Parts: sequence; structure tokens; C-alpha cells
Amino acid sequence: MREPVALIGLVLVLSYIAAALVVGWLPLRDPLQISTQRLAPPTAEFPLGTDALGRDLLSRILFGARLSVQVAVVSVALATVVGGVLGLVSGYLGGIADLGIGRVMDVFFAFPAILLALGIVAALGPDPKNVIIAIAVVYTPIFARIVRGPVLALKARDFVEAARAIGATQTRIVVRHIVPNLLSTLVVQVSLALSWAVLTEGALSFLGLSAQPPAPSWGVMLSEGRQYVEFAAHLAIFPGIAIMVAVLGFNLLGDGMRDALDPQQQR
Amino acid sequence: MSRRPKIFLAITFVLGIAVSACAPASAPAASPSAAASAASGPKKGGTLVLARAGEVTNLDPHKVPAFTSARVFELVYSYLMRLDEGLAVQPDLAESMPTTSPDGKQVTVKIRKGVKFHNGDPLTSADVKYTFERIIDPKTAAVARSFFGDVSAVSAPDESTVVFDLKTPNAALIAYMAHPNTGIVSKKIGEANADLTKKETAIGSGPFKLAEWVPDNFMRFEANKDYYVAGQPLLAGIRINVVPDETSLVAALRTKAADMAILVDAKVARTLRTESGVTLSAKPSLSYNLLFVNTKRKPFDNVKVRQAIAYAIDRKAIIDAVAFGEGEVTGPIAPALTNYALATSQYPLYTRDVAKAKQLLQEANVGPVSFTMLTQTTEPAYAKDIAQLVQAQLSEIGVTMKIETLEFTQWVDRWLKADFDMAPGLNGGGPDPDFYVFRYFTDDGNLNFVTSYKNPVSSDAIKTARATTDVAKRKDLYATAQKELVNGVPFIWLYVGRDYNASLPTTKGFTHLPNGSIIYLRQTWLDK
Repeated sequence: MREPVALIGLVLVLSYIAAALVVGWLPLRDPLQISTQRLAPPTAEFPLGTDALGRDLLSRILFGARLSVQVAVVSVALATVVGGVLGLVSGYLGGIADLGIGRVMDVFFAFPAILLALGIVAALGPDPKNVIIAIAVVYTPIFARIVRGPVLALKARDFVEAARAIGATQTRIVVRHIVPNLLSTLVVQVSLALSWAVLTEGALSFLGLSAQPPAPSWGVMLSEGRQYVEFAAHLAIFPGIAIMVAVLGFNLLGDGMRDALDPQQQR
Repeated sequence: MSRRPKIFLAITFVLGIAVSACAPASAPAASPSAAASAASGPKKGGTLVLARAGEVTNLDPHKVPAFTSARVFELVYSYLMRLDEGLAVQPDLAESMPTTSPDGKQVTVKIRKGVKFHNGDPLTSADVKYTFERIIDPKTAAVARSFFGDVSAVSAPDESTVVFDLKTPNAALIAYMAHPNTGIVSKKIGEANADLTKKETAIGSGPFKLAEWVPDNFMRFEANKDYYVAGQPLLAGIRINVVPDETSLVAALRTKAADMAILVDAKVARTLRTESGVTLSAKPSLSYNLLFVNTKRKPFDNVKVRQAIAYAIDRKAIIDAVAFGEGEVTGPIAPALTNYALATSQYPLYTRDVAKAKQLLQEANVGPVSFTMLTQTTEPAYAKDIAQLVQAQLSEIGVTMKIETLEFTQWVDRWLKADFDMAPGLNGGGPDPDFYVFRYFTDDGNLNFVTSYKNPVSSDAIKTARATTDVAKRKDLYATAQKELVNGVPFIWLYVGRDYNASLPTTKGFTHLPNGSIIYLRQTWLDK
């Protein structure tokens, strides 16, 4: 990879995902274990200090990464699959299908993203599962639109014409000739979507609409830490850094990949 | 280019030292004038800015129970009685202490003469009669209705006399006349308006007139020049500023944008305590933190399960974690009522005993216990912290507790339907023990549906105590009731925190009452 920025992004993203994957095996305190050492600043015993109920902040942040990764990955995967299929159908078939899907997506685009997510979670109830649904719903039209454009262009390209001329089925054309050419666009978009998903999960849990106490969640920790910022600033700073690292990582990675995969720049 | 910022920094630094070096020198110069003004006594005039979190919902002085609204009623309306610093009941709009007939069934109140409402109308006994009839009328749905449930008739034999006829004697009646939801309204205004919820109808005879209200922003009050206490109020006006949350109060005081702030959160108090130039008054509150237990729900219909849970609670840990140690363990009656509250050492259930709790669960034989704690994040803000601590404490006796967090209004809806297993809460208190127990634990209580707890022994004791004036006898009756209630566990009483009032040193003459009342803003003045 020639992009140093993308490399930094990759390192950040990998450490974030690694934390989420291995946290269960790390020699950490129970993130729910309440102790009498409340609001302790970082020490050897508690590397990131403790929260208002005496729980280990390091452990809570790492377990928080797991929730964050779960929500972000599952929701973006859902949005990619559903949005991708809708975009393919819309672009490849055209006509009524394109018109129908396009107008429905327009309706979703009419709402500001965070407001739509907020509304969905408020309607379904505060739970990480519902946050996943909300983020997926918000991102589906974006993927649909991002896929539809290239499909329109690809459909008219010579190699697709050629495949059609030798009698390839529609399915074969889509799967073998169109989808592979969409991947670079999708990869970049997925990375950017993940960064937004992490941020949105943080925002919704900050508002108390995602994980419920005592489950460790970055947004909840940030919201609780805010009240103690005058005399225990670490409570707000560390969860804030965690969210920042994850969001920045995905953003840098996405930007870097876009530059690397852009055919104009490769020339 | 790179050197310039450094030079600039250096200049700033030097200037900073110079300024800070000047400060002590100028201070002595200012102090003689301050001393002179202190010697000359209270100053008149000036507008006091009071900052607080939370806005009033509406302005009907009898219908809104919220603490936020009560503070406004206290400024605009006057009350027959008031509480003094020691929480003793004193006459206020009443000229002297009310007299009670020998059989205890007739209470006569003489009211001050020459009192005027803010619109200039005279306040007479007819207005007092109208006020209490409005409170007692079930159609009004007044907050204070159950306090005056024993009153059979209110009469006004002459312009300055009001007589309350009672079905049974009521020892708490006079104290209830100081309740924030018993402000005297004008008969004329009450009869001319469909409701008293608007700014235009907020016309009382209190020390301050409501002049302007921009909801969710501020309320402006002007001094009532015809106020019946001579020489009061000293302030020319008050402005109540609404801030989004209590953390913002720190900034308001720090920047001197507020002269006074009312708060309940110990976190904020902790910050303010270390703040130079802010005086923090902390008094053991009359309000108490508790867990409501729904005794209708399984397995809480079994008293042994409730007792097991009570044995598993560590109150000290809760006080330390959520109130930074600033609180006292409480039983059914708050410790501030020293005459009546039993020492909590008398309750065996207050000593944490995990083994005993497990044994009780076994005896109850209800299988694994699992339930949901219905919590919210507003009143009090730390309810979810209490829930998490209780969750951890109960896990030690093998009880599984889930936490459900709702928005405050949704929470109140569920609470009013008694649709919960257990819920943390903060209940208000008063100067008479009746306040703490009658509503919830007697068969006549208007809130006994919340826990569905039925115990004729405590119910009768509380009702008899209300009808008894002899303090020693009341004490015995409340002792019986408190022991019964603690053993029956309809509530798990946790602790009383502090009522906090923060002010700048220039705010003088205020008396801080532990129920959060601001009636004594009428004697407050600004030294600036």
C-alpha cells in the first residue's frame, strides 16, 4: 500500500477489531465488577482508572469495542447486501423497477441520517439490536445509489455486450461480470460507512437508546463521564479517544483505499 | 515565523504575572467599602439571578407537584403557615398560631388584616375559604387534597377568621398549611377563570409578582411593594434562569452569571465545594431515596422474598457511590424529624446479611428470582446508578435483576399504573411524619395502589397518629408503624441525601430550608 495515511488507518482499524475479538481472553477485570475504588485516576492497578461505581475503565472500554464492532459490522453488512441488491436490480433492470426503487430511496434520503436513525430506535425501543436495524435502514439507500450508477455504466460496456452476445444468462452476467467490477467502489464505501456506524452507535448510546446499563458501551460511558468531567476527566476522555480512534481509522482507511483504487490516479 | 508565537506567549505570560501580582494589592482597597456596607445593614434593591435545572410545567398552584413549580408558587403566593430554620411551623399569612378546639375537631385561623393581592384586591377570609374548598374538591385533583381529607367544612365567620371543621382530629393539619401546594388564591380570579395555569392568573399575595415568563428560558419577578411583612422583600426583583442540566450551574456561578443556584446532585455539589467564591449550603434533606416494591407481582407477593432482598442491600455502598458519602441511611420517616424517626440500628433488616437473605429465599421456596428494575434518568439523575449497584448487590444472593431505563414521563405513566416490579425513586418529605407514610401505607391513602401493600397494623397506627395530638402517643404509634413497614418491605428505604443551595458571597440574608424551599428570598439582599 503506497498510502501512508491508509496504513495508519489500517493499523487503527486492525487494533480496534483485534480488541473486540480477543477481549474475552485477555486477563482483564470483569467490566461489571463494582468496587469501592470509585473515580480512581489511572494507576498500575487500573491502567485507565475507574468509573463512578468503581468499575475498571480499561476493561469497560475494551468490552465496549466488542459491542461497537458488532453493531457497526452487522449493520453495515446488512446495508451493503440489501442496498447492493437493490442498486443492482435498479441499475441492471431499469424501467419500472428503477423508478420504484429510486423513489422509495428518495424518501429515505429526505430525512437527515441521524434523525432517521433516532426515530427508528425511538419507535422500536432502546436496544443494540434496534440500533443495528436503524443504521442498516439509514445506509441501505446510500449503497443502493452508489451501486446503481456504476451498474448503469457497466451494463453498456463492451465486455457485458460480448457476454450477452455469446448467450450468457442474466444471472451469470451480473455475478461474473458486473459485481466484480463494483467491488472497489463498495470496499471504499463500506469503510466509510463503518466509521459512520461507529459514530452513530456512540451517539445513540450517548442518548441512552442503545445498550442498557450496566453493559459497557462507549456512548454511555461518555455520557456518564461528562457529569464527572470537573474532577475525573479520564471518565470522558478515554471513551472519547476510543470512539475517535475507531472513526478515524475507518475514515483514513476508506480515504486511502479510494485514492489507491482510483484508476485515474494509478495512471 | 516560528519565533513570533513564542515572543507573544512570553509577553502574555509576563502580563499574566503582572496582573496577578496586582490583584492582592487592589483587594485591600476594595474591602473598606464592603465592610462599610456590611455595617450599614441590608441593602435594598437589585435583581437576584437564581439558576436551576428544570422548568415549571404549568402555574396552577394547587395541581402541580413538581419541585420546580413549587419554587415559583413560594414566591408568588402566600401561605397560612411557614417553616422556620428548625422546621418548626410558624404563622405567616395567619396572624398567630391557629387555635384548636378541646375535642380537636375545630381549627380556627386568624389571618392578617390589610393584605393585598398583586392586583390590588384585598385578601380576606373568603379567599382562604375559597382556596381550601378548591383544594378539597376532588374535581380539582389537588396535590394536597389527601392532607385535608378530614376537613368537613371551611367557613369564614368574619373578614379575618377562617374555621376548619374536622371529621376527626388531625395533628398534621397545621403543618400542611405550609405545604407549597396550598398557596392562597383570589376567589375573584379563581371564579373568573377556567383554570389557573397561565401567567395572567398567577396573582397571589406573595413577596414577588410574576412579571415575565419565557418558557424554558427565564422567569422575571418584581418585588411586591404591598407585601405584608414590613420592609420585605429587600430585592427589587428576581430572575429565575433555566439551565439544561445541573452541571451548567457550576459555570453560571463561576462566571457570576447567577447569584444563587438550587441543586440536588452530589456530583455538582462536590465540584462547587472546591470552587472559591461560591458558598455551598448542604442540609440533610427531607426527601428520601427509595426502591418501590410492587407487592402484587410475583415473587414479591411473598414477604420472605422482599425481606431477602432487603437483607441483600448495602445502603452504605449506595450512599458512598452516588452521593459521595453525603447522606444518611433512612427508615420510613426521615432522620431530620428527630422526634419521630426511629434509629435505623433498630431495624434488623438494615444490617446486610447475605447468608440470611439466601436462607429466606430458600424458605420462600419460589425458585430462582428474576425481575426488572424500572428506572429513569431525570428525577433523580442518579437513579440508574442506584439500579446498577442494587443489581450487583442482589447478584450475590443469586437474584437476577434486569434494568429497564425509560424517559421520565413514560416512567411516571408506568408508575401510576403500578406496572413495574421494582423502581428507584426520590420522594418528597415534610415537617410532619404523616407526610411520609399516610399517602402510601393507609387504606385511605391516595397513593397506596403503587405498592398494593396491605397491613392493618401499620395502617391503623398511622391513621390513629394523625388523629392524635399528644406527641408522646404519636411517637409510639409511628414507632409501631415504622417497624411494621420495615419488616413488610413495601418500600426499601435507602437514604436521605443533602439539599444543596449554592450562592455567591454577595448574596446575603437567605435561610436555606432542607426541603429546598426558597420562601426566604423575601429577606435576601445583594451586597453589590
